[in-house]
Amino acid sequence: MKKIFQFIYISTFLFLGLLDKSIAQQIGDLNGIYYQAVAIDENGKEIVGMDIEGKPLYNKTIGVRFSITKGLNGAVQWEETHITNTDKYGLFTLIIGKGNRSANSLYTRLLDIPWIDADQFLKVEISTKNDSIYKLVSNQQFMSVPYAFYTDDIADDAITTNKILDLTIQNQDIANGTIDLTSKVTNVLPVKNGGTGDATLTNNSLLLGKGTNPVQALGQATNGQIPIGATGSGPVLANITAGKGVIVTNGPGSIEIATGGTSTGAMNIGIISTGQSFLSPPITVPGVSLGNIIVASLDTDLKGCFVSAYVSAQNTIRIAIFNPSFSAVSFGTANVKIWVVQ
Amino acid sequence: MKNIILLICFFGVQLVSTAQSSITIEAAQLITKFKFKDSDKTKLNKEYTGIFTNSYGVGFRYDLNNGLLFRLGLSMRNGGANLNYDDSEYSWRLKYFEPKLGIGYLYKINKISPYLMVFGYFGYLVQGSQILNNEHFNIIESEQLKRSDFGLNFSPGVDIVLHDRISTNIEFNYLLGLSNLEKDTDQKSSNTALGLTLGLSFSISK
Repeated sequence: MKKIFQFIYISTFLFLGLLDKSIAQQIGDLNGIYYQAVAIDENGKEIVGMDIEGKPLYNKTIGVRFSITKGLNGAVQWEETHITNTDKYGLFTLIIGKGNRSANSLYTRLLDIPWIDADQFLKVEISTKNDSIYKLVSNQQFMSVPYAFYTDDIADDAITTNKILDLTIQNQDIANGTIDLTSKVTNVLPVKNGGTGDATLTNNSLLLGKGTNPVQALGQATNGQIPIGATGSGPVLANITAGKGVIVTNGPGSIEIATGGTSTGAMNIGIISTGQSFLSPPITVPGVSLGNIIVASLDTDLKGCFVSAYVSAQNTIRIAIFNPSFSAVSFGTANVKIWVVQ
Repeated sequence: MKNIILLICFFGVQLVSTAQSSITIEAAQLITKFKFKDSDKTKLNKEYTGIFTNSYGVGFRYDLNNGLLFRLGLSMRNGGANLNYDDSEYSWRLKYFEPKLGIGYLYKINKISPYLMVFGYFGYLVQGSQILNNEHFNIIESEQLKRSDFGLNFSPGVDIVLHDRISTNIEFNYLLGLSNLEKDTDQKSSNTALGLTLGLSFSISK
């Protein structure tokens, strides 16, 4: 008996879903694998003379079942069926992933298959009469194609949130020193991840930590204001207050703290006879009041004379000079310096 | 034994003395096809459809007065068939060089006489092609079929005398091939044909 061998395929072409020109940049659209083949009559026919063998199934409706297994004849990760028509050359083209997925499929999406394992086999079966009686055509391991290699180099702007398979880039996905976050982060970066936890910050404000909550701003400071701690609450912006005898001067970016009451001025004393005193006219010194200590000195030789100063009235002092010596002392005009202790 | 030889000689003399010899030419319109059994011995005759073709030839005719008729011929006969399978057309075109020898009986009435002939033929394939979906294959080169064929041809007809030395005959033909055309002995195919032959006989007897 003449044996007629089964030839189902003349050619088979497999390539990842090249659905349009934006191939590698449309990762989310790669949910199909093109499959193209020529279906050939598996049985042939005995006729007079040269028998019919390897005849393509022209313009026929056929059934095709694709199974993706983990290893050769391993667990079925994907299984789907197609019904298609061959063309006048027996050629048919299908997209694996676009068929009727069967309940045997372990995954619901083609992209969910752990391709990273790289141990998938594609089993192809054909029902030449579309009667759900399938015959095995091929069972071969998936191999890489050029476009799969291309994914080793991600195109500019190719990665967007919805294009990442599990919506999460995990640490092990990223090589050290490869990410420049200058303009790549949107939304608020939490404090725990190194951000401020807030969308905006007040201009010229001072920032305070607040646990895992967004950083707190103290607001814009005026001249001389500094953050000052307060028991039971956060620091506050405040000025240094001048106490008695101290003058605090707040400037932009500076605080000057000085002792208060020192003043200098010229005074015509003239000649003080022996046993006589000189009493200055009232000198206005703002801030002095009765009870304050006034210390005065002259920038000339006192020749044994005593100098004293006192508060004669609010904001007014007087300077007295007594000559206890046996001769008159001429002072003329001298500069007098006073120091007020309040 | 001597008596037998004498008897044969007597009848032989009788045959020659009462016979008429003629040269014949003939042409036939045929419908030919194949009978075919596949390797499972399944008859698939009905899958083949006949083709219109022809044959032509020359011959020698020998008539006895007692109605016996002998014919010897050389002809070219075309054969073949068509097959439609799975929306594809297949066809065969064969040409045989065919010596044949026949015997029959002519019932002489007047100028129109019916007869019945039975020929045995031996055909030799001189041209053969198999056409598979518009692709031609030379069967002789590919040696898919045997080059020889033999069988029987049953031919009832009428002979019409047109002149003292000229007659014409019209006969129906049923050709039955008895040889398996296939070289593969698991399959069996043979020629078969129906036809209508028109012939002329020119008497060469004195």
